[in-house]
Formats: sequence, C-alpha cells, structure tokens
Amino acid sequence: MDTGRIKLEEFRLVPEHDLESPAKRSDHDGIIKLISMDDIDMELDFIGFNISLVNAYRRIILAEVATMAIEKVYMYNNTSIVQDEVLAHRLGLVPLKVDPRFFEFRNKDEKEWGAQDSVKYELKVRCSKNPQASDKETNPDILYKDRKVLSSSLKWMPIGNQTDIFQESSMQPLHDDILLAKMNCGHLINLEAYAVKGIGSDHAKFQPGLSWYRMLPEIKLVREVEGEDALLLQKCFSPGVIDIITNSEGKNVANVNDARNDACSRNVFQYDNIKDSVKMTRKTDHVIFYVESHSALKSHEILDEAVSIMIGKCDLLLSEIEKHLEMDADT
Amino acid sequence: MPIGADGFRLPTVNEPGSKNKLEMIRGAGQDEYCRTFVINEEDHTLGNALKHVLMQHPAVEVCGYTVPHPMERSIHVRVQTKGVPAIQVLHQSLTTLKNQNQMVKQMIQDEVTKYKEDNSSQ
Repeated sequence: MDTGRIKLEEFRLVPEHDLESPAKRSDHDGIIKLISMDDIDMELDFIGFNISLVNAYRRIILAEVATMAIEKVYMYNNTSIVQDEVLAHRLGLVPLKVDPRFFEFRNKDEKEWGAQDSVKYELKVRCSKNPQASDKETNPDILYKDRKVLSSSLKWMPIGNQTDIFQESSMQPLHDDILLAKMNCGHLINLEAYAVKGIGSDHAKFQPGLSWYRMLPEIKLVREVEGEDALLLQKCFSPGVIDIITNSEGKNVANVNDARNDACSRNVFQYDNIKDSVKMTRKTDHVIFYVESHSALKSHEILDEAVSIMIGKCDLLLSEIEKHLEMDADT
Repeated sequence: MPIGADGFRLPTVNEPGSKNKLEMIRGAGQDEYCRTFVINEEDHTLGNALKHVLMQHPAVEVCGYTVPHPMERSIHVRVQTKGVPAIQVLHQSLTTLKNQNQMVKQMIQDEVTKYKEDNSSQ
C-alpha cells in the first residue's frame, strides 16, 4: 500500500498520502513491538509491514494452526436425557491440555488408534442418591451425587507407551468445570472418546484461539476546544483517549491523551459545533495484532506456529517451482 | 488441504494421485513472460501476500490472483513480466516472502524473550 494513512470522514474513508515517512517503504525495514503478553493474551505491533502479511497470519491462526480435540466417541451406554450425538458434539468442543506438537496427523485410512496420533479418554458416571442428604432436602444438586457431569470426569487412558512420555496432569481437559450433561437419579453415561490432531478449517473445535488486528488510530485536534465543548468532545471518544487540561491561560481545553485505545467511532460528527475540530486518521502500516489463546498452546506459541506454517507454504511452493525449472533446463 | 476420511485435515503432504501443487495454464496468450500459474491447495492466505510481494518486483508489469471457485481449493496467479521469465520472478518473489517471514519469526522470538526477561524480575 503506498498510502500511509486513511482519513475518517463523516461518510467515507479517504486515503491520504503520507508526507512524514518516505513515500515507499521497503518490506525489509519493518519492526515488531510486543506490547503485552501472558499465556493467554498477546498484543503486538507490526510497524512497516504490508497488511496482506499480517492478514495471512490471522487467517492461518484461525484456520491452519493445529490442536487436539475429541473426534470420535464410542457410546456404550447413555441413559441421560442428553442425546448421544449432542453429547458427542459437546465432548468435541472441550479444549484439552494436550500439546499438539507431540502428535502427528492421523492417516486417512488408519483403523487403529495409535500412540503417536491419538489420545483416549473414558467417561463413566452414574447419578445416584446422596445418602448424606437430609430427608427434607429438595435441591437436586445435593439430593443426588454426580448430578452434573463435568469435563473433570473425563479420564485419560494412555495408549501404548504414552505413560512414558506424558503425565496425566498434561492430558486432561484445559478447564475442569465444563458442564457436559445433567443427569437424574439412576441415569448413566459410559463412553470412550478419542482425540486427534486437526485444524480449524475442518472444524472450529480445532482452533487454537482467536486473532484479530486493527490499524493504529490517530487523532489530531485542529483547533482549541474549551469548556463544555471539551467535555462533549471527551464523551465522543473511548474512555482515556481525550483528557482535559488547564492551559497557560487558565482555560480547560481538550487534549489527546492516548489515541491508540480509540474505537474509531464517528460520534463526534453528531455535533456540528465540534466536528470540525478533529482530524481522525488510521495508519495503514502500523497494525495492532491480537492473539488470544483458548487451547493448550500459549499465545506466543500460536503466533510462532502461524509464521512457521507460512514459511512451510513458501518452501513447498519453492521446491515445486524448482522442479519445473529443472524440467525446463532438461528439455 | 485434503480432508481425511474421518473429517479432519491431513498435513500438507503430496499424496500419490493428488494434483500437482503448481500447474501452468497452457494456451493462446500464454508465453514465458506472461503466465497464469495454478497453485493447488492454497487460498487468499498465500495468494494475497504473494501478490503484494510480486508487485514490488521491478520486472513485473502486471500481476494478480483469483480464486476461480470458492469450493475448489486453488488459486490462479497471473504474472506478466518484462525481461525475466515469469516463473523466475515467481521464484524470486517467493524467496523474498519466505525471507520476510523468517525475519518476522526471528523478531517475534527476540521480542518474546526480551519481554519475558523484562517481566520475570518483577
């Protein structure tokens, strides 16, 4: 993109040529800044990169980074009111702590469940009367034991030599309080479930997390806004974006504190008295990128995997082109 | 990407009998400097990024990509060049894209280690 900024007007977006930075940036002088990170969330800035590259990472995170999820359920007995297929679907959506990088994709015509490509779970629960409950008790949660079937009842059953490699604590569901079914006294669930490695484009249960991006918003005050108008202006933007300071003449004037957090709403255009006072733009070569994990992979691991997948795509195609080039050379 | 019998996708392997990853459209209007490449098992993820890198290449006159049908996983990349054969331009651009990705990967890793170091002391 050769324009550096997009101006937000009342009813349209106008590309604006950037005069401050050099007209054409090469793609090799981009920088990345990590703003904040923990195991779940991550926020980072891609500065000076083309948006198509950032979008590729987002698309890969949503569709191609692999995780483990339950894929097949063998239902031996299910007398609860949750139908077999509904229960199986719910099981599939449970995020697992299993690290997908230790596993392979299952082969197309595989019949057996191998230690290198699948994880086995067992769910055996029966709802029974709670002998400790008092006679006057009416709350069914206390009256019956195992009334709620939670993800914590999924028990890992090692296949082959998996006990040598994994510990039980790293194979359980990521959250142990996911409600799978509710049962009444005498109801019973007995099933076996197999988790495999898969990708998000096949089913959303395989998605490692969420990812989204936005361009850096910028706000410039063209003229001084004071008093009541300043308060009104402050209300037009996200909290913390505009603050009010007392200037040297003792007037309370609006000041841009931090445009980064602005939601880029155009509320300011509702008010004719202040709408000419601001210039809102977004920087097209400064992308704020977010990753949010809801799987075994940490947020930065997800992004790292995505970039590796992109490199893999290039490698595969490069080797294919080289084959063509060699063929041409031979003839 | 092929989807296995059990529903989940297989990794990016070239199975025997599957289509070639890269094909070239033959016919009138196609020559060494003006080619339409068919890349199978790819979509906008690679297509858009590749198009932008191709546009930066000095030998490229025209280039663009399209997804001919949303249910078929393939993209058509058209490259029209001056002086250098189109396939070589594609090769060079892909190398550029790969290097750029490797650079990004390295920068992310550096930033993550730095961030961890800065925040472990607190």
